[in-house]
Amino acid sequence: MNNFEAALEVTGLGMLGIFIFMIIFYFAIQAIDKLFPYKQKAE
Amino acid sequence: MDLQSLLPVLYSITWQNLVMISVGLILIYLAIAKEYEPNLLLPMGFGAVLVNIPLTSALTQIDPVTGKALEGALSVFYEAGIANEVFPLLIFIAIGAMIDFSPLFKNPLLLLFGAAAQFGIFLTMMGATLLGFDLKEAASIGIIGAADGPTSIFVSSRFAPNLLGPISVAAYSYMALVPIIQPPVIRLLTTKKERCIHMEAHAKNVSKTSLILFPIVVTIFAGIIAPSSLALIGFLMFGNLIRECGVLNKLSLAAQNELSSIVTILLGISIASTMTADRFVRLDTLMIIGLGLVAFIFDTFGGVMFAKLMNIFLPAKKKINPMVGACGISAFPMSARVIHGMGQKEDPTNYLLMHAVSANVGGQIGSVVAGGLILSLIPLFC
Repeated sequence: MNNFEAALEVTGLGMLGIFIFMIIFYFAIQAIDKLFPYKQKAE
Repeated sequence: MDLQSLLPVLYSITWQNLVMISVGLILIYLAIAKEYEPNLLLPMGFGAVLVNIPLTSALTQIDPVTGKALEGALSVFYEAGIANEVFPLLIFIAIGAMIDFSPLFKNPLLLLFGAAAQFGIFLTMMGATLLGFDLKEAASIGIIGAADGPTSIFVSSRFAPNLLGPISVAAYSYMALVPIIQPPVIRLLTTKKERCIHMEAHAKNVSKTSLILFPIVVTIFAGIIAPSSLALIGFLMFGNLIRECGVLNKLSLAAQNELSSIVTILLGISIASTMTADRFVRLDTLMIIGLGLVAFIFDTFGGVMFAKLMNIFLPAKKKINPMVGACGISAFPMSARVIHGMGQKEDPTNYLLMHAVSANVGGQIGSVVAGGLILSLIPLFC
């Protein structure tokens, strides 16, 4: 496999990987926010 | 005794040394007069002068009489902090302690721009292979597009230490030039109507527990998916945990100030040890500088086009101003400020800052993830 073909494959996997990471982080944020919502402290 | 014995430097200096000393002086000028990333460019510029004076004792030299190596301070710093990747990782602790992730909790969808705006990294990597660089060098050049100096240094010190000097100069120079690079690219890709899109405000508070859990959860997930990325992401998140835990304020401040300052000085001047004429005055350097610009342009392209793509599916009320997509790069908070400024120019009633900051924080995570993925993927193809 030449360098360009390898780079093309790394690009596909890399971009896919970053989106997977970010989607997981998105759901992690949603879950954390649901489980531990902000509560106003009592005066 | 003749003049050559008295002033050997004058007889050993080459035109390449003079070019590099000029490069060093230009970097010092840009740092002081233009304030282009002065924290890094000034030490790098001064270091470039220091290492390009022939027979410099700042670099390890071989004693012509005894044949023994005379250790130079900059070579020692390089081996102690860059060759083993310690300095960039320490900087990540400092950066983590500076990042506030709460904007992401207000609109987590904007996190996705932190992925889309890494497109320039990969496109540039492909371009670099076409120009004759091998895969490891191409990946190190592409990572300039992370718009994140420590990530660029971390990846290139592992994959292409011979190119560390030009890659660091390009990364920090283009980070400083974000206000010049991004606006024309954005204007080219968007209509005035798109640039005037107002976005829904997400005013909400985030609990302290959420902010403490976030760096821990991210580290664990990153470790499960790509263990090679753990050093990068883990140190960033460790710094953030110090900030958010609420019981280590003194350490958090030390990481943000003292640690950041000390390591930045050492990092900048140690990188300069690689900026010697024989390594730097080459056609490769010009190609790397050019490819770095390509990376930044296509990062912006990726972010803006992804926002336009999302707008096809989002309801009218939830449309995203495509300019915000360009903030998915790591140059924080400069990119967010630039986009907010552009939005205000188009429509003074449009406040994009909060959204732009959210996407920009996403970019800070995205760039580190991209660096980690490149570290994991490239060895599979070499």
